[in-house]
Amino acid sequence: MFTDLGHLAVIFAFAACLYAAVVSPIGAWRNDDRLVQSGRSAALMTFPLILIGSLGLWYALLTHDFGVQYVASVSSLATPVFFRITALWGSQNGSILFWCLIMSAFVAAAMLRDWDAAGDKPLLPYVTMTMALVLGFFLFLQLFLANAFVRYDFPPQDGRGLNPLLRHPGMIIHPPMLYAGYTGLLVPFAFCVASLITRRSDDLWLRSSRRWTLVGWAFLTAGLLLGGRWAHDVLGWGGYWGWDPSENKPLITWLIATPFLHSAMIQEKRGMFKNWNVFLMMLTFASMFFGTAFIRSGLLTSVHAFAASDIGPYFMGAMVVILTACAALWLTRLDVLRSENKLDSVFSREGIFLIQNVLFLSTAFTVFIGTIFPILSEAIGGTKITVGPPFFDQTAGPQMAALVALMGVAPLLAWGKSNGAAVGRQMLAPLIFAVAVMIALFAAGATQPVPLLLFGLCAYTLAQTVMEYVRGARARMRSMNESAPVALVRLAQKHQRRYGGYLVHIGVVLMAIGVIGKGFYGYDTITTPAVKLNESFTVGDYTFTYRGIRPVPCEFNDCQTIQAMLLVTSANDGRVLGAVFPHRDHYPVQQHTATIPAISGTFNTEVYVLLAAWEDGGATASFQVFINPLINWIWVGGIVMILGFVVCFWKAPEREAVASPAAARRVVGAGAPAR
Amino acid sequence: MSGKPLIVAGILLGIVAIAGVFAIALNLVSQQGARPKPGSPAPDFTLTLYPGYRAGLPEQIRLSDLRGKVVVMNFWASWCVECYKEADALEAVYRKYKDRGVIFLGIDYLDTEAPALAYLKQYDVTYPNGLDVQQRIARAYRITGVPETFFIDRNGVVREVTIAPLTEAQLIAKIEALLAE
Amino acid sequence: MLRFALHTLRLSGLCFLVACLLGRPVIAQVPAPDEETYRIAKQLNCPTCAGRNLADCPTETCAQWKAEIKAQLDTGKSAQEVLDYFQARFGPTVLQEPPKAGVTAPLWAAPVGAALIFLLAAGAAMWRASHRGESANVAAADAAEDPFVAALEAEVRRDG
Repeated sequence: MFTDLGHLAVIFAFAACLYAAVVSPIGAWRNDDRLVQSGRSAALMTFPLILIGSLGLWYALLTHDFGVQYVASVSSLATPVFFRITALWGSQNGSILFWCLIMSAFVAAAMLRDWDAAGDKPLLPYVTMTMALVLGFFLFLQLFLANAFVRYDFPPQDGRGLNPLLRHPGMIIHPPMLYAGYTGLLVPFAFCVASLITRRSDDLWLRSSRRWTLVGWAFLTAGLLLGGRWAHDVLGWGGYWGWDPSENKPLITWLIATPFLHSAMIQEKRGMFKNWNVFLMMLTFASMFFGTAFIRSGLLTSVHAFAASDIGPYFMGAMVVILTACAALWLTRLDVLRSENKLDSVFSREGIFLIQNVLFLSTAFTVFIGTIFPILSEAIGGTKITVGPPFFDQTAGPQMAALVALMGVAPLLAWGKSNGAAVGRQMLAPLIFAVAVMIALFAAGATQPVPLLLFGLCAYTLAQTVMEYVRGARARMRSMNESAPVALVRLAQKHQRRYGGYLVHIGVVLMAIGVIGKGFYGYDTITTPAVKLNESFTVGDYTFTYRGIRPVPCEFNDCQTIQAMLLVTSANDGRVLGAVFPHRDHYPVQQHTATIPAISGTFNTEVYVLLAAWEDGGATASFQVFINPLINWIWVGGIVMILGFVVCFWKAPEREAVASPAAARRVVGAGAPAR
Repeated sequence: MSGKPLIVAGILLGIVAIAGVFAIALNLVSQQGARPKPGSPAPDFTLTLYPGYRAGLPEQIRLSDLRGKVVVMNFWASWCVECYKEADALEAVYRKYKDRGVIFLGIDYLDTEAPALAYLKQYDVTYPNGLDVQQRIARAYRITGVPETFFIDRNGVVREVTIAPLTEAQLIAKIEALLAE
Repeated sequence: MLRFALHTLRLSGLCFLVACLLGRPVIAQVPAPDEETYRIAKQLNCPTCAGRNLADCPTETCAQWKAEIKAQLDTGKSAQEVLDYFQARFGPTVLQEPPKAGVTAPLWAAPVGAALIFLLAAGAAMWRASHRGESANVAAADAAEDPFVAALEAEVRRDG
């Protein structure tokens, strides 16, 4: 009953979207604020309505209402409460509803902001319209193509249970994070569209949506990280990233949203590259839609096997409409988006940002082409050709390394024009540091040239970024007479975006160190021949003694688990370090076997053990062992990136209400157009 | 502004490119699962037969060369459990009809040689069998898995497709219907 | 192809199930490959589970493929010959790393080409931007925003 109420609420939310999308522009056109406000309220209402819908589905999940098809497909009587809650996004139909819920939360938050104080009232009707249209599309999918509320005529006794792969904390938070990332980026997109429709040439849309962009970006980053952690812990690949289509999709969006964060600064500071920012924003949005279309259509097989369905063509249709509309809108506004300034020098902050931007885009393109190549090759040549990780490593890898290098140079360059000698002087100390690190690594036995150079690059960029804090704090100490810690904190407080951004850079470098370590020094092996009971084998610094296998009770009683016991001792001095229990879980209902690793080792060297096979009831067994050097730096780097975001975000910048310099200049020079 | 036509051209080109990708993708979507419908001509192919499983035919056979005979095409694999269930039935019916203008073709899908030959030996198969090299035939017939059996009439037209293991009685009924024409 | 994969996945799942019902331990036993087989299997794609390599794949089909690799190695074939055999038999799609020549050459050329074209386009855009419009006093703009930042910039960046 309550579930059907939820269904009804979602239908109302759809109606509210349509209403808001129609009424808002009419209000703007007729200059009737009541209509605009009415549209705003309607858009605002979608959140409580969809929340009721989600609560309805949650109610069905919690009460084991297997009459609802979706409930039967993602839960069973044995599914614990926690996973019945997260089952809301455990399969396609529910995940679309959940997506709508998060998107409507962003819509509602955007509607609730104080538009008068922010000075962007003229954008409101079109922001409302854009958001309502996009949300309406997803509600349309939910209601007409992938309805999560549909009931069986004859309810089954029990459900199928949640996909075993999705029972990991990383997988539980990962989809909401990604959804929040995508839908968060919808806000700047809506502002961009509104700005174009109202023929504005200023950077109001960038400034108004800046914090939303940051939020969306941070969620996307966190979602990617959690996805990697999930793959590492559950999929038994031995790594953190498999270049799977469903991983690549958010990565592509991230690779477009990140340069946007940077190039938006050029427009705010210098009033340049306006077209470029519009282009990047539209590309960000398009990549999200495009990726979703491809994954959901089942054209790209991936670990998210549940995603295959027939809503793909609708996505593609919507995509073509959106792209055409965006391009038309943009084309008719080209004259408005002319640059206000001349580029003084390539050797400047804006110059290097542009280079960074195109490198990001070519990396995104690389990932994109590798991801869709199976489809392209089948469509053109008739043979489907799979593209594995080696392709991405060899093509996207160097471009990412170049980006790390740019990160070490860009902060040194000033807006406008830089002084070469001064820049060179600033580079000296970090370069010396990098060389010292490389010599130390070489002495320690890291003699391969490529990783050595890459580590040196990371050391340089890291030192240079740290130096930014040192320089800033030192300047403050001198000019304001503050002690070092106070100066550092004040510095970050006063220039959140700048120093938060540098913290993100530090996180990226730490992550790069992890990627290089795992990529160049990681190795894996399989025990040959199979290990007999109580026999030992040694990998790296660790000796493993096989103590047998045993069946253990499965966590939720819907699988059969075979667990191997291995005693771990140090290969050097024979000290007992502990025991590891890699296991295999077989799920008869889902016909799925999960190979779950046991992870041990030190912070710098992870040892990742998988139970590969056994014979004669465990008389012999084989193990797959991965040595993952520095992989933990990736997670640490990720946490630092999120911290950097927090520094950027923690409170509203004091100057938020003040117009940007570009806008200030326009006010001064108003009435005297430059051209 | 001199750059404007260039930008316009670039954007239009981009849209055309993306629309093209979509068209291809949509085309693929519509093709997926669209195996040759009963009544449509059977896509031609060549099959290299396993040594010892040629039934008097040349090493390389072409489907179109078998015009005039009723062809029963069976996709299978040695790792396929369901295939075991129909192996005996297929062989028995083949022996019964092989002199009446009916030919059976076993098409081995995504399989390695040793287990495949062991499978053929185990079920005492005598009808022609060969590997579907690079899955070309499977793609042409858009099979959704194994086993899958196509019945092709004397004019080279697909008349029926089954995607489940067949029994002797079912096979006989279908073949008799085609022979009666 | 997806349906192939899903169907075969289902079938190999069935293989598991049957093996479970007949077999001794509850989970199907898959013989472990030796080190060299493992190395080669790492370079091949799993035929039934998309996106994974053969070495990590637990299904029955994969076990057969690994056995085939081992059998070929035992006859004295080199690793490359084994890979070539698999490519000839099942097509280029079995390789983890697409060949840099032949049909997959454009795939490898695309990223390099894109990076070059993008950088050239950026260069052209910068050239155009530097020959158009007016030059603003950047230092003043920064100063208008924040005197401290301006001072910092002046101190550490400008003076040569």
